[in-house]
Amino acid sequence: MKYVLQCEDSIEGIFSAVYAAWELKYGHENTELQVFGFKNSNIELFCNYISLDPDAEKAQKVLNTIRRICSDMVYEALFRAACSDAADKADAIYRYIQTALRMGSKVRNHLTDPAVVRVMELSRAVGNAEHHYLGFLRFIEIPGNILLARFAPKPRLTELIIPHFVDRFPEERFVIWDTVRNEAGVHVPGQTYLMMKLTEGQVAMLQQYAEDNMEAEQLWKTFVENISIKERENKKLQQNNIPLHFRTYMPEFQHNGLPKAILQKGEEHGE
Amino acid sequence: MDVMEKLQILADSAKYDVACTSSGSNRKGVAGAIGNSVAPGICHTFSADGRCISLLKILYTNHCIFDCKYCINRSSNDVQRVSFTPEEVCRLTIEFYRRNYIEGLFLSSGINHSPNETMAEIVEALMLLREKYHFNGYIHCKAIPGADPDLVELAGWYADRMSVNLELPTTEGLRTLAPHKNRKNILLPMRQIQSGIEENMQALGVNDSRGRYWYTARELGRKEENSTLLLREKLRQKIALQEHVQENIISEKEQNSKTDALPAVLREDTFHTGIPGLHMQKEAKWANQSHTGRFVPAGQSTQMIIGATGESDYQILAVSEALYKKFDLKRVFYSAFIRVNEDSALPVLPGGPPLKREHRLYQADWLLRYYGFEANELLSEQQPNFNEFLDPKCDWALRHPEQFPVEVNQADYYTLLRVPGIGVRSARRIMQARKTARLDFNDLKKVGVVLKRAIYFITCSGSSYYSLKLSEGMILQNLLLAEKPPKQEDTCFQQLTLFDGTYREFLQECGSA
Repeated sequence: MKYVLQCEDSIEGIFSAVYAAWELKYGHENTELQVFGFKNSNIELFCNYISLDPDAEKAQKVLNTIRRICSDMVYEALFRAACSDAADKADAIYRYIQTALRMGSKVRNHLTDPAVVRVMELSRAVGNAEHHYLGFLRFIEIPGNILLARFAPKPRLTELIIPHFVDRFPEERFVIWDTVRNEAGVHVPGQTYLMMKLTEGQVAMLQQYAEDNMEAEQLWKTFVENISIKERENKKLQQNNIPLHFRTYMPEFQHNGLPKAILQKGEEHGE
Repeated sequence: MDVMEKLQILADSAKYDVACTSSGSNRKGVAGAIGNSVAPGICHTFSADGRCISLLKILYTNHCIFDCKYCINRSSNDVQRVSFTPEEVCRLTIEFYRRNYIEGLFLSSGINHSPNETMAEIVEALMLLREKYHFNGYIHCKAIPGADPDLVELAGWYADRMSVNLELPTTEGLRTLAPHKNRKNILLPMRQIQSGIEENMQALGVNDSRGRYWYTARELGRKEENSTLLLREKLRQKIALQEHVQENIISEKEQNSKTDALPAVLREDTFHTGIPGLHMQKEAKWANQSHTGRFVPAGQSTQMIIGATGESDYQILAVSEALYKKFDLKRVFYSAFIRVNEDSALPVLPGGPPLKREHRLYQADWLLRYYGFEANELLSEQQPNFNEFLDPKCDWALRHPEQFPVEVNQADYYTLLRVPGIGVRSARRIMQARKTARLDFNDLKKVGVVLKRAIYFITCSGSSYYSLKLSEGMILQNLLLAEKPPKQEDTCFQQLTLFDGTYREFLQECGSA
């Protein structure tokens, strides 16, 4: 008999399901992990489905064990893989941990094991998206001298990228808002950041700010237009380097937006 | 004139500068300041020509007293001339930076009135940005050839990267196309920056693998007469000497001014005299407040125009290699010549800028810096230009059948790197994966080896992918078939047709050779 453990799509959800897989003792070969909410997961016959609630304590135990037996690198790879948007991530993580507990930190070298390769691929994909958004994320200044960044990443990224911006803008008040999952990271000067799940009211409030109140956006568009060399134009290369899905909130790619009343407003909230 | 118009003009004139990288500096954020810097660099967007935009790349002014024939801002051109003020540069940088548009500033300039005046204006802008606006992000600035060494040095304490453009690969080229510039004035600040970096690293005891070229060379056990290693040794001796004989400093400084005329040789005496670290305490307050002051921590770079004069690829690559070896440059950039001025001294290129050639040079440049190749391995007097159809590494591999096949499960890192289809990352992963298992062709695919190129040159546990005897011509045909034929819009070369002889002739030639 095969057992499918279904868990929530979150760090706690996935890692507490890994804990449960050991706890339930159905045998690793009979157990599979699945994350809720992926459309293309077919329901199988002759299979027991068990849905699990996330349990922060159990998840922490698993993560602590990984850190102790393996290394921080392994922990980071697993953490990133758990943020991925791939449907098979939970099972790949589960299989990886089986090998990891046997091999310790050397598991990262074991690139002939399919689960190890899969977790490497997932964490690499998340890491790449993370690095891209360090550059492609755009802030707009909203009243009160607050910076607001909206982005729609495929993997769950807010918590992975926010430390970079906390380090970069220690004196700024800013919000990074994941518009897909409606979660946000918030930073206030002198403090570390805070992760929060946004309520409908908060989302509605943030939605009214769609444009920057300074002329910086126009200046930026002018700059981007003029820095390109006409004789070398290569839109295909541009699209390889910055695929369309990244561009949703980037002002330099918004060509038919509404005209912006910016110049006067800018004076009030300037220096 | 408002900032918008100025930005339009001065960004437009800065676009021919190639470098827009923000790499090489790792700096944490500081309370009270804005910005940090990460070593791999971050691309913030890509312009319509597909190039990365990472920095606010602008000219300080497009006024210029020089009349370089290839340049849009040459003094004989009738273009609108404007200048930023230091405040404007700072405000633009900060406002862009806050919105995460950019990684920092790249400030270049035309030569306004005199090199010194221009350099002083650049330094003023940088100083303001660092000390008044507390900008802690990335700054790349130009060292203006002919400017006073003190000004260049001051800029170095504020900038992360500095660059002096070589402009053209040879002295003759420079003479014909850039009559106001000369090799000596370009190499002097380059040498000065190099020495400054060395001294600073020595003083702080930092030893990061900045200059990748010497890093690779050292790994391969190759030592050059003028390599950094030797330079370091000389420097160490020099510092030891200075500590004993403080009085000598003054007389040495006098000598410096006399020996300034020696450009391409190792001039020990350009090292700033005095106790190491003294400059930081004096000038670089912005960095000293929080942590150690670094002089040009991201190293220096340069750029060359390709195709404006008649040099061969071999000459160009030899110049690059010399720059990496002797000047410890971090990067050499290549810029395909674009004819922006009508001038009889400039070549007419009907196919547009030589982009394919530029691409091959970049590939070869990587082979020099990361793969341990030397210029004379890739090209020679007999074969002075790169193959249009094959990348330099494939080309090299085909000419060296004696080095292959390479056994993937045993070969060392640098041997693996020489196999076409294996790059820095996949070679590292192979080294990693070998520790726990023997690899076969399937595993190689998983670790990211490009098998369509690599299979002809490797064996896995002694067995080759093909049981046939491979000939050079057969490999070449397969390699070319595996690649997409070049398209008209992608390259400056002709579309291949059935009735076009060149491609087939080329195949036959290689097959019979």
